[in-house]
Amino acid sequence: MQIRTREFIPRATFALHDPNLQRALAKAADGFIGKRAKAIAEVPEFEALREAARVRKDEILSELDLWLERYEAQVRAVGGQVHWARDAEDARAIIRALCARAGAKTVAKGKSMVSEEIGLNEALAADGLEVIETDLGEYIVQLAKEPPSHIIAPAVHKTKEQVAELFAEHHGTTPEPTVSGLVTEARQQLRRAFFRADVGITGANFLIAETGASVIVTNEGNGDLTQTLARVHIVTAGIEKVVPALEDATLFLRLLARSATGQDSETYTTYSMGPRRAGDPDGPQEYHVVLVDNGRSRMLGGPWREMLRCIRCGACMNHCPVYGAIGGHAYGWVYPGPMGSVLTPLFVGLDTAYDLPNACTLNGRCGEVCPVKIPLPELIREVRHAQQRDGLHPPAEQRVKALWRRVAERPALYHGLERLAVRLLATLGYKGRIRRLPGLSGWTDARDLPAPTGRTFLELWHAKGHDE
Amino acid sequence: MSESDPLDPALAARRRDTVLGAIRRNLGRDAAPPAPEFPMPPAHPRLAVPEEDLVERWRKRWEARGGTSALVPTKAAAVEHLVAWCREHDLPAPTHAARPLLELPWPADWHLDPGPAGIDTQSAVSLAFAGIAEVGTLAFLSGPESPVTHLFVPDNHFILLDAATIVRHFEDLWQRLRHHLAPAGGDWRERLPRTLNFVAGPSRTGDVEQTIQLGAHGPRRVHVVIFQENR
Ligand code: SF4
Repeated sequence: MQIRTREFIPRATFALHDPNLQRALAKAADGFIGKRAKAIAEVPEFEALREAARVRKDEILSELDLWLERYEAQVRAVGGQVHWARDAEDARAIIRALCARAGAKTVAKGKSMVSEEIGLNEALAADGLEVIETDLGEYIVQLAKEPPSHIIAPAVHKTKEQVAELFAEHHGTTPEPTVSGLVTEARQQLRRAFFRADVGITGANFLIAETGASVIVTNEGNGDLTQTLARVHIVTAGIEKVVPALEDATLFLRLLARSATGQDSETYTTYSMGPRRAGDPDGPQEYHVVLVDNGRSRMLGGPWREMLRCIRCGACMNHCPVYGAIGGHAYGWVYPGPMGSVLTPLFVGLDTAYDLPNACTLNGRCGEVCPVKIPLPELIREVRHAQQRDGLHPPAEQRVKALWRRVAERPALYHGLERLAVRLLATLGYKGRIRRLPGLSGWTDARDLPAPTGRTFLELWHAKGHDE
Repeated sequence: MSESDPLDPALAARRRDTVLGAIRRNLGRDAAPPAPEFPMPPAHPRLAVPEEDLVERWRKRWEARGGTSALVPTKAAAVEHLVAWCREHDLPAPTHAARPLLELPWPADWHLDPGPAGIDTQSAVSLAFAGIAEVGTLAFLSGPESPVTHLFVPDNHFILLDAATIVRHFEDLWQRLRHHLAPAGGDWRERLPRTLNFVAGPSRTGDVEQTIQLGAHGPRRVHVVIFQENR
């Protein structure tokens, strides 16, 4: 997937003025937040689950090499093959070669963020393969030649009329522009794709060392048709996805569905363990897992290790006011929202993705809802620190910060200036509100500032008879 | 094979060493620690399932997601119920069924094929391995007797579920699975089926305008008949 993180500001501005997107985002935020809250209210154990998940995932990550080796041995034991990819280029080369060896013409794909991370679709298409995304939302954005705008609801920004137009253009049909008409149309089209596909590629929510299983979770059933009907099943997964035992998968799955869509379980949860067995009437003849590092091993070593606990539920972005205002496209790459503001700079570069962590208001909601307790606000601040250390902050900002620091280090000066400022601001207020501030219209266009009373906090404190 | 072949074993081994080496370096250790045996299944928090009656709990949860269900006394009664259900709802008679179900007293004009479902298959009958009361879902093991395509291809999916196989938690299912695969001891992991499928209701999508629509790719209607003869 093309990296467009440098266009954050123009894309965010564009998004803010797109009425369809704004309507969809408002509806999505309400839906996701409300459903999650309801699902969690039913589960008094939720906090205990979060804590257990945090502890367990940290344990696993601290012995990641070990669990990966055990996982690999077990995949071999059930008749599958494991391929290790150091980076995106390795992963693409391996998958292209597997498709070529299978003589593939058509590739069906279940939802996989790793495959977007490694730019798989473009590479396969360049080889002349027909690549079909089968998750309905992914399929819609694929037809529209757009990236997904949400990790759980990729086409959240499209209206049904827009979808009907896309289908008419690509299928040569005139589907009824109702939700049920469009879903039926897609079902018929994609059904043929599933049966035609030579290779099926899915992601993995988890890999289980004990059984060699890759686990996928879907509501549509597309990931299952993808892997059952093709001759070759290829799984793409980040190296951090491995867990030791079936009980561990259960722990994380209890958190995943509730955090992602507010359901106690998604419709389909599938554990795939190798190719078709002797006597099996269906299923693929080959089973491959491509384990992708692509910078993850480096994250293990620094302050970023906690980010590797992420189970890609999307709760952080659903609760993020910035994401809620601008949607996923503005983030310019695979991972949007708070998790993307940490991950994207680590994957594509602190400078290339400069704006992402700096658009954060540090309101803290993402960290509060994360099911594996990733301290997202702290990590976002940590990315900013790293950018500061690399001298990436704009010179004007650095000068302002240096000035502020000089003042803050001199209490007498600081309080003097503060007294001056509150008195000045108090005169700008009308009925206790400041409507406009010269040079700061970016803030005051959208909201009023409460006017100060004309005295600083310390002055009021002392006036109440408190000591210095 | 040449060195430039991406699947060349020597190259694959080098990639593996690089990735594992990078992981170890970043974890601050030189070599793999000695591989311990698997710990006993870890004990994580469970969700309270206070209901005495697991069948009731299972049905409540299942139906909350759009599935339907019925409770009958015997397997034979399940067959009668299904025949009546298809007639009542004007549904096509199943054309595919799991092999162990073929011996049941189906109507003479129902021709049930135990093979995989094809692109035109409208309706199939399966036998669940277990039900899980915690969330009201069903588990299936793939194998010569239970095609996976039956679960995903048809529009209408009928499932027979033995009430005695409904467990409280997923943890109970894992114990049962380990025992089922190696009843006489030995390594259960050598007997794993290709897939373990959980089905929690009809296929659904919310991808068009966030409006839930059933029957996205998999079955639109999923009806479970619970029989109690082994209870
Ligand atoms: S960071 Fe946490 S909340 Fe966000 S997607 Fe990952 S697991 Fe979910």
